[in-house]
Amino acid sequence: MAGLFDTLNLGSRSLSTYRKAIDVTGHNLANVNTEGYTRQRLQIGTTTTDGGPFGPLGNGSDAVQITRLYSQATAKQLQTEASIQGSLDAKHDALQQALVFLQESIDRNGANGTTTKGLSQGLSDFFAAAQNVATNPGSIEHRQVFLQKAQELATKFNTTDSRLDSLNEGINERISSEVTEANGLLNEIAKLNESIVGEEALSTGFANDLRDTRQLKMEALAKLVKFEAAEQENGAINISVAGNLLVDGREVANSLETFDDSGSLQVRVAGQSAAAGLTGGSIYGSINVRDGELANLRGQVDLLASTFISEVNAVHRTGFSLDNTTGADFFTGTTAGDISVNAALLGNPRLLQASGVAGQAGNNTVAQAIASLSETKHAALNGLSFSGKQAQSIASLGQDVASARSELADQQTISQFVRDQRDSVSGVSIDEEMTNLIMFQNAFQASAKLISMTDEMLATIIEM
Amino acid sequence: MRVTSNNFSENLITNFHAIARRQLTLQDQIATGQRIKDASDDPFAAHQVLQLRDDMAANTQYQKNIGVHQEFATVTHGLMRNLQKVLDRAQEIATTVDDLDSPESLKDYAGEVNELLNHAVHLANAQHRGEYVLAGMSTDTKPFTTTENASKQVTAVSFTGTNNTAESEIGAGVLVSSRVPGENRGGSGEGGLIADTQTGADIFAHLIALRDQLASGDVATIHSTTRAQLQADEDNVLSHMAQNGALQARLESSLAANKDENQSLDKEISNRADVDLPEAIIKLNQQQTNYQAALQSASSVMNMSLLTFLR
Repeated sequence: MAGLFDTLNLGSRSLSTYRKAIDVTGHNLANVNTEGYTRQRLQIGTTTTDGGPFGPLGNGSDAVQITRLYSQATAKQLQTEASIQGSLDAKHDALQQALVFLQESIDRNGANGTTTKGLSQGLSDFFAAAQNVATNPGSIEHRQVFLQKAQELATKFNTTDSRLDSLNEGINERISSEVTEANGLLNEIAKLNESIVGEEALSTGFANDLRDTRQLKMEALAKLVKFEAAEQENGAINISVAGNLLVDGREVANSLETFDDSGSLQVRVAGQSAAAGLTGGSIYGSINVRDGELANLRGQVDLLASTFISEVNAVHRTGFSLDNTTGADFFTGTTAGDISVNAALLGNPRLLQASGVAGQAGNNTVAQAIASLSETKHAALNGLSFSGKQAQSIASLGQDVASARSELADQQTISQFVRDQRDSVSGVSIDEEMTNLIMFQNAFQASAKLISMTDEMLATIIEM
Repeated sequence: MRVTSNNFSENLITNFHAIARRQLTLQDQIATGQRIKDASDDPFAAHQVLQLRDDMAANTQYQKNIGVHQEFATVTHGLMRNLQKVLDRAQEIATTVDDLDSPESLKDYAGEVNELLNHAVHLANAQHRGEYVLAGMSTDTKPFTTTENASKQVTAVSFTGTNNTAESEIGAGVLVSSRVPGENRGGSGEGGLIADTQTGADIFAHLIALRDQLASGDVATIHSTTRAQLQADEDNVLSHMAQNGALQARLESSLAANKDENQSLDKEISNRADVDLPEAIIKLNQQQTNYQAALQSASSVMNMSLLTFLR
């Protein structure tokens, strides 16, 4: 039969339990702003009962386990959304940069009316200068200006090409650094697996804070590369990318690496020959936009340059210069990267072959034919004029950027919703914790009162 | 749904970002007066703006071309008027002379016609901006060269220019020439100003003939033939002057139409690219009100918790 000392023990257990509960509440309050923190609760249970003639007598309460309040499904959803958002972020960043690099922002406030600084303006200036030569075929000054405008256009082609080149390099550097970052995260997840397995083996509870940290690392990894996660019985989580096991319990089974796939930087699982079939995350987004929209854009710029070079040259070759020379190309090069005005012409504007007949300085038929190319619809450009083609490329890229922007905005709303869902289960509420604190404090004070009352009762007995 | 302490701050930050983004966009639109800057702002409208801008740039260039054509047309017109004066005087002489004139006075007339001839040759070799106006396409070569006899009299004038002139655009696909070839003895194509087979004009040959006929006292031929030839010469010049006048009127109306078109194009661009300022300012005010409301509500909500009331 339980005596007063048992009552003292009961009070003492109760004090200890509520002190633990206050500790857990304090831990929650201390981590109210910690990223990825999941609120914890001390599970309090009744202790074993003593049998007796009047039925089992309770022995008070005891701390059972500290648990995390979280939803596995929401945690998984957060990873999925992180992968989608990572991919869209990479796509949006690259396309936005490409649009800026084309320098086709419309300026309505300049002295020359509506202008841009890109190829469309260069083409327009080139054809205007060609018109000037056609109207004044014998004028050296107009020839000089025309050649300068042509060289400015060629430089715009070169600059656009080199900027798109540097954008490609930037994307490749981003892929490389993100692969390194992903490998680092794989390593950290494996180490956290080891710590979690070790810690949980020693107790009946969970390594809550370590699990939070691992969850955070997994979200960071999901942003970079989409993966599948499988929790093992011992608490470790295995990570696979496109069917390849990367984290196997406490070990990193395989890491990711970049490799040169016929001149294109790709990502594979170390030791394999083919690229990993990534399906989400910023690494996938970067590769996808580089090999998709941006490759297409570069193709369009090159097509415009090569068609422009060949069409202008074909006309110019038939003409005669003021010195009666003929057959010279107007432009050298074949692509946006190497287009340049024939150096001989730049050095001597008399060599511009504007005339259709040898010896006729006032003959403008070739200059006029070059000027009229601005209106010509070219089969190679899908039946569009040069400026029409450039306007279409810009509008198409603009549409890509606008779509990426709106997809990203939608995705941010979804991600925010999932984060809100997570917070509604796992987030710390100061009001709630303070209420719990008062509740636990009251229980603690009641237990203390029980001990002091029991003490008084013992004193009464001793003094008898 | 359970609301946690960080829900307030996260929500506030998200809203701040959204309001800041909208304010930035509106402020930029108001400052630049443009609704569209980048193609991503409105891809379809930006596409149209770029094409309209291209049309405007081409039109602006056509205006410059028209200016050059007007300049050459004016120069050519002046040349024609001076030639007409020469022909007027030559015809006057051809009409005035008769058999009663003494050989000396006829020779005096011959001397005057010779000067008229020299003046006409000088006019026919006129230059503008370093180019020979009547040389056709060979603008860098003096078009009329003279052959002189021992007494330095011009006996023949040959033409080294071409019987066609350069055309350039004053509108998309609309080609005009503001020059006139000095000669066209081909029987087709552009009419020559000095000599033209189609109209029978040959100013130099007829002036030479008149001079020589006056010098030799052959008044009969002057009356029977040369006077009519000089009339044909003048008719040819007058016809060119009429054409020149028509061309100048056409250039003037093209220029006016071109400017009108550019105004319309600018309006079209404005409709697509420019911001509706009052609307943008009202929207910005709305955003500022939203911003203030967000700040005010956040400061009152976030400052309050159970802690405020616990002693």
